Parts: sequence; C-alpha cells; structure tokens
Amino acid sequence: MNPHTPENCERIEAMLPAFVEGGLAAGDEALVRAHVASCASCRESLATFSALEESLVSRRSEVPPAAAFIPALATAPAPSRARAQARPRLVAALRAITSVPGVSIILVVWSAMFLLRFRGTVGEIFTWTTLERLSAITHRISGALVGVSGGDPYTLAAMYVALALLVLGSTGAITLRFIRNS
Amino acid sequence: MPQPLDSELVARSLRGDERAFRELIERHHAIAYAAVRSILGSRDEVQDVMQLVYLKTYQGLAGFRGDARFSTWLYQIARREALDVSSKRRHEHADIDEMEIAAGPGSAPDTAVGERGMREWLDGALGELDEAYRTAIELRYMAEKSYEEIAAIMQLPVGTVKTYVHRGKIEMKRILSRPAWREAGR
Repeated sequence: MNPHTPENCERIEAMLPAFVEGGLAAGDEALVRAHVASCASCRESLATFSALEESLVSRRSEVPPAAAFIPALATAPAPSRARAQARPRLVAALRAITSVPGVSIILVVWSAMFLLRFRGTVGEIFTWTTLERLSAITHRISGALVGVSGGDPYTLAAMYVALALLVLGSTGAITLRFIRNS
Repeated sequence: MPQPLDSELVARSLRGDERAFRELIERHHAIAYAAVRSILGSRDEVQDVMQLVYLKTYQGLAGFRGDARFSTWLYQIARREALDVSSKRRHEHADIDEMEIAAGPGSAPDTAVGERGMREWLDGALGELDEAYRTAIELRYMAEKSYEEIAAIMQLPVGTVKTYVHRGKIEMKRILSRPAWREAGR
C-alpha cells in the first residue's frame, strides 16, 4: 500500500497541529513520525506548523499590562450588593406571576370574586353579544371591586392600582418570557 | 503565602478594596484581552473597549453570584462589549470594514503586504478565521490557557476546543501558503 496517497497525507496533516503541541497519543505520534520521514510534502507541512506554533507562542508578549486599562474606580459608581439583589427578587416575583401555578391562582381568585358577587346572573352573560359581554364584564368587574372594597374610596383606589399593576406586570413579564423563548 | 481565591477578591472588592479588584483583574486580564482581540483584531478601539470592560466588571461585580468561574464571567463581559463595538462599527462603516476584515492580504497588493511585520502577518491570518477558531487560538496562545481552562471559559467540551485550535491552525497554514503571505513572511 502506498502511504503517500493524498488521503493519507491529508489525514497526517490533520494530526500535525497536535503533533507539534506534543498532544498526540503514542501510536499516532509514531504514525506521523514514520510518514513524515518518507514524505517530503508532509515534512514541509510540519516545518510550516512548527514555525506557526513558534509565532503563536510569541503572542503572549503582545498582552499589555492590565494597569493601562483599569479606569479610575474612585469616580465609578460602586458595586452594591443591595442593588444586585433587588433585581433578582423582582425577576423572581415576575416569574412567579407568569408561571403556570401563578396564572392559575390569579384566574381562580378572579373567578371566585366574580362568582361570589354575581351568583345569580352568570348564566345571562352567555346569551349576550360579544360587545355586550365585554362591556358587561368590565362593568361587573368594577362593580365587584366596589363591592369587595365595601364602598371605601381608599380601599377601592388601592384595589384599582393593584389590579393595574397586576395586569401590567403580568403582561410585561409574559411578553418578555415570550420574546426570550422565541 | 497562598494566593487569595477569586471569590475572596470579589468579596473584598465589594467592600471597596480597590487593590483586591486590581489583583483580580490582573489575574484574568489576558483572557479579557484575548477575547477582545479575537473580535476586534488590533484595531484602535481595543484600548477603549478594555477600559469599558473593566468598568462594567466593577459596576456589575455585585451581580457575580459565583455559580460560574470569574474568568468565564469576565470573558462574557469582554466578548459582549467587543461584539457591541464591532456591530456598531459595521453599521457605521460597512464598506471600510468589509475591506479590513474580508480582503486580507491574499487579495492585497504585494507592496502593501510587503510592509507588514510578523505581528500584522499573523493578525491578518487570524482575522480570516471563523470567530470561534480565532477565540480558541487567542485564549490558548495570547492568554496561555490550557484546553481545559479554555473549555470552561468558552463553556464548550474540551474536545471541541482542541478541534477549533487544530482546525484553526490548518486554516492558517492554508492562508499563509498564499503567494502574497509567503512574500510577507520572508
């Protein structure tokens, strides 16, 4: 068998970078040595890889001292544990709201509120048109909030704010999660 | 005296110990520099990007939770900042960048190639490699990291890193075999 076929030389060349680094297994190293001893073309390749290795090794000297790049930290905003920990807590809260159990709990709470307030009239909603239904649901949700707050304007305002935050937070978090996953 | 662990230096830096931060950066500086150079080459922006990398590292230090190595975290910051600058520059100077990155000395006039030193000669060949090959090679030689360390930094299997380095060298040999490069290398 002729050991100097293009396929053989290609296989040997693929091993030359590891050979130059001294990273070949003993068997492969012996194979490369034997081939190179009798193949002028691969010997030339080995010389090129050796020269390349030498040039690459010298790249370490191109790294300038770190001090040249470290800015004056006295003027930089200091790192803060509190600031770093606040963000994960907010992220965790948003994740909890948008998780399957979180969404389920929100739906169960809303359904329970709705059913408690309008026990007798739920069935009527299914006979209305879509616009009437939306309008009625909105109206009755606000009615439910008035009912739950007991007519106290401060409690009612707080509930509206909480509802707005819940809707905005959930929508934002769900959108972010959707964007990140897509 | 044993060297303090990275986590100890991070904790001291967070308490305002600037010397600890400098020691931490000096320890891993070559990784950040190699990461930036692998993306930006030897462009003028390297100096500015490196300063930005260390500023962001300092400001974000509290966010380092220690579930990855500090070197991996720093590498990611360096890579992100360099890619950001590279992308902005590409948008601003698309034509110039195309010439700098894509052409290389293979298609450059011989007179221009002849003026290049050995350093630019290697930079040019590295610049023609795939980014992953180039990064692995820069971390291996510029930062003098072992294959295991590079694998941890790049979050890749060790075998993949070895393949990147070896294929990168084979590709560099092919690039450097072009007539224009051979002239320049003499």
